[in-house]
Amino acid sequence: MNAPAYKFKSVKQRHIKDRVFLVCCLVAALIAVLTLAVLLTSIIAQGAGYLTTNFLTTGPSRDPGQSGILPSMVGTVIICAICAIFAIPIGIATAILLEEYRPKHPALRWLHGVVQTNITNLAGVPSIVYGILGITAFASMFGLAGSSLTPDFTIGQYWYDQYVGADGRSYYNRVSHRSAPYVPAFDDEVTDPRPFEVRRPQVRVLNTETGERSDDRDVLIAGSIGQADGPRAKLLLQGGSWTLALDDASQASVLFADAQPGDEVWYDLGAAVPAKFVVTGKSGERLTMAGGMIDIMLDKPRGKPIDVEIGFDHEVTPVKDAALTQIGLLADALEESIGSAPVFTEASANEAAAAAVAGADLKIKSPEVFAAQFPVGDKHPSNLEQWIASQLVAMSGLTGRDVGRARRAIMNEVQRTELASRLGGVIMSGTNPVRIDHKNSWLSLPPYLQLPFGRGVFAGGLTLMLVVLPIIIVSAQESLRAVPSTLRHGSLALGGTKWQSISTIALPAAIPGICTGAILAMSRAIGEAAPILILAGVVFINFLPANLMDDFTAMPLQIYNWASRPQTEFHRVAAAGIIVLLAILLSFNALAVFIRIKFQKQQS
Amino acid sequence: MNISTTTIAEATPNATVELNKPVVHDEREGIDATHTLITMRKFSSWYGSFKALHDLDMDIKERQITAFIGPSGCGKSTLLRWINRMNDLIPSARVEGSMKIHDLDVHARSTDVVALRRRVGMVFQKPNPFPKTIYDNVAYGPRLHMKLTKSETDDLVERSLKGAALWKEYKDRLHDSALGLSGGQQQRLCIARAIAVDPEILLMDEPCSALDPKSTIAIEDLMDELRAKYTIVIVTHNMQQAARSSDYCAFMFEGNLIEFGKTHKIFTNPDHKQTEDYITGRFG
Repeated sequence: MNAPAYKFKSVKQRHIKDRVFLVCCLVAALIAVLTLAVLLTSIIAQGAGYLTTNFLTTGPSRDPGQSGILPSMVGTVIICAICAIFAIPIGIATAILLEEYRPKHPALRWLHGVVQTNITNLAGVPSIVYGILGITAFASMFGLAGSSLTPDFTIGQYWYDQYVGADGRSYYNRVSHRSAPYVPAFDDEVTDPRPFEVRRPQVRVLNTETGERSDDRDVLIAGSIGQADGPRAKLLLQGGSWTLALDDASQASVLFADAQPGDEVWYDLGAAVPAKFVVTGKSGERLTMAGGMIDIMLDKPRGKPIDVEIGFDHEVTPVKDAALTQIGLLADALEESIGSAPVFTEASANEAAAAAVAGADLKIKSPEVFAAQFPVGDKHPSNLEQWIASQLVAMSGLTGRDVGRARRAIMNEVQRTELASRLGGVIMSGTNPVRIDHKNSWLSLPPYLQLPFGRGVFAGGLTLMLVVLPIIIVSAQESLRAVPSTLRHGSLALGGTKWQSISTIALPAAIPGICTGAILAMSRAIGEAAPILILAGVVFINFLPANLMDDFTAMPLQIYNWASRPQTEFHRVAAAGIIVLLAILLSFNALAVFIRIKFQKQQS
Repeated sequence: MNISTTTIAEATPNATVELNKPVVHDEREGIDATHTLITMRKFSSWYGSFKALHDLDMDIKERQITAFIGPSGCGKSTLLRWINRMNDLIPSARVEGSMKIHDLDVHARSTDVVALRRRVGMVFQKPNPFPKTIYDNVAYGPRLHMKLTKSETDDLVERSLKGAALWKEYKDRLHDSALGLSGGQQQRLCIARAIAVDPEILLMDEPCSALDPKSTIAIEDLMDELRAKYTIVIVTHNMQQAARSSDYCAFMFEGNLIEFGKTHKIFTNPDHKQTEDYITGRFG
């Protein structure tokens, strides 16, 4: 048999191609590795200097050197824990249903295919979409349970909003510490409700006529007017009948009674400033006090009668300016004395104004006065705290409730500064009313739950769950599919039920894969910024969440916040934040590897 | 065929197959041979629109070894897997006609498949020990059905391993992983696992096809011991194995039962030309 003369390829050439391919791969790998190495080196070089214990134990600050990552780290840990608690069981159960209980009926099989395709697709949906979904599904619950401002269902809100005074009485502060305290926002049309968020108004306030708490009045507005831009404020009554009265300790004078809808009433403030006023009326009515002074709309009390207390108008420009000036002076004084100063933002001016008005006067007229009261040379923090405490005592002229409110406003302000850790306790506990210590332990606190969840940590964790759920389902399905069906058949042939064969054979064999998938999904959750950004926004938060409904921030957001600032020092702080984030990610992946190895050893 | 014969003859010189001689098991003929355990009447089955089994009538005798032989795709495995309803797992599979174990209608809707499978154990073609210890593998079945104390489990494992003639070999390594065993050992462990729930019937789907000749002989010896207690139905491609170890033999071809009877009759004097052609290796 004569074989045809086939032409052979050159052996040498084949070897050369072999080499060339290897070199190509090496170059490609080098490019990737070098890029990563350069990136990591630059981040470490930038951030290492800021990576101190202080960085890990404090919150953000105006001063890069004082900046810390603790609140966002805690926020990230909590939302990831919530995410894991919900996503892993739900994901595994779904995977088991899809993988092990395949339906027999053709129509159900078709449905199964549709669900399967969708889940696979969902894994690729941009996470920002989940953020939007999280807002509608968790933060507002499709509007089915009221709004987050006026939730239909709450547990424990009262507890979290009260102060216990040194006299043993509790002073209820209806305004959450996470929102501007004195800005009414009962109008759903407020475009950005966030800074103006007020909890469901259910505080007990005085009936000005009898001096007792009155539930007869459906709506009661109480507040103080410090200064006005003009001598008069205009009350425009749009519905129902209303009574406006000056709430004066000595003489409660009714300024206006039984106004009819559409009436315009001018209220002369001239001599009465600062004055307190009370408006009472029926729920469901709408009241507008216009004239650049007060614009309050009361609407939708949702069924039952409620007592409403409303503080100040945020448009009281002169008051705000005055407050800003005063706080600015305080800041200057503090800067002069301890070398750093609180940061005040435009948004905080409202609160400051409110604080200033409620407390009548901060009594800080100038740095000179301050210096006189607080020796500049003595920078001992405890002295400073003493002084601020005394100021707070001095500023509280009126009722216990007002003291609480004023303190709260100052607290809100100071919390945003580097003084928070030192002053926070003093403001609340160093003087008359003390704030209940939220930081004991989550377990020792009463639960706080509201429906809808609002934009707190709980909603954040659930939103992350949406992001990682498809990943967990798909990876768990893959792991279950990799378990040989002969093992399942072995179990079934011995008379095992479906669930017995799943729980004793398929699931244990799939656990290493499921764990790896779940942990990789969680490490994605840690680094996820978009859905959190949508849900929580970039906010300056310098406290740890006290409960599941509390505001939070997360590491990616904090890093983004630092990196987007103009000062290069903050870019270095951002780099330090990235190092911490990478370290956490690395430890998660190490855990994944560890679990996989451990279970694989167990199985073989 | 030839290749297979040679291999076995080489590996086990004592087990040389002589088709002309009556098989040894005939001596036991009188014992239970009259008692029918599984009765099939006009038993047919489909995969979707494909008819895999055609109106089979068969009586499988109690405590005998019945072998299903036939070329690939003839439906013998399908038939076997209908006896413990493993085919339920295939969505498109369905049956007609009747199959009864004693008076139990195997395929009736009211029949609980879990209880059925406890009575009808199965050993698969590929050894499929669970990724657990030897002990846990054997205890697996009993634990599915019973609440057992530690000592009861110990006892059951010991009896099952003894029943499968593995106790001596394994008693000191009960807590080793079953995956570390060789193929033949794994398959015997699977048999021990199957008999641990004390079934009446033991189905074996080509139990030796993945094993070497020595392990094959070990399994056959084990089957020989087990037939005193269990009714065994075995599917095999190995003519010699069927001839050596079975009492009854069913030759199937393209979903039809061509011939069913005493093994020695089938192998020495089959009624059908087709059977003779197959067992002598002329086709298939």
